[in-house]
Amino acid sequence: MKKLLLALLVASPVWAATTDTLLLKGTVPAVLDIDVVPTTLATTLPLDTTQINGYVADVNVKWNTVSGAKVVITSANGGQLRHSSVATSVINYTLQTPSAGTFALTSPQTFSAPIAGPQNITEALGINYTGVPYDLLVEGDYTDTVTFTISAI
Amino acid sequence: MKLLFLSLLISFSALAGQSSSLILRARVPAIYSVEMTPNGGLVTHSNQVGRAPKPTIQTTLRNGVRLVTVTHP
Repeated sequence: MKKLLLALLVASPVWAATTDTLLLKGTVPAVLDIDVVPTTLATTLPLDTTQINGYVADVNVKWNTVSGAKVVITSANGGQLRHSSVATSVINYTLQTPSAGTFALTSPQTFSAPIAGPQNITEALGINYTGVPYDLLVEGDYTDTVTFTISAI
Repeated sequence: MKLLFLSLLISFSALAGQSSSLILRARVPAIYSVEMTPNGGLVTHSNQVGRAPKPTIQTTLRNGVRLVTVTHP
């Protein structure tokens, strides 16, 4: 009996060293990033001059998700440049990019890119509106804030 | 507690950069103008908020010609 136990003890370490496995694993987190870089025109819009694809920003989007990403664009004033104190004094505008085309922001707009990452895309953002002579507009500041949000599909 | 804090930090860093805003701004300057009608009346125009412009009018006669000088604020 003692001989058998000794034999097993001797044999076991030899077998354990003969084969084994090592699991190597790395995890890449989901990356979803959007950055809007405005041009000078974005904050100096000449309301008396019609704009057709006036260059107001570059929009850079990055993602590495498998199913792609979507971007939701919302306007605080529903697609209008609004006077700071006279809410009825507004200028309607639309935006455009080369891939999305022209779109209004009366309601949030969603653009989907069902393309697996990694992706890193920059697009120029343009603004369109019809100019109005200054003497037909209430003097003062007209603003709107457009928010871009990226998420995974 | 440390694990929860670390988890929150990781969550926030993952969310960072998922949203970005663009501010659009325009400024309309103050405009004044005075229009003289054929019968000699004056019509003033302004695009200012809640403020009616009051031009200063000065009339002088020279060699039988009446000169009207309008100075707008």
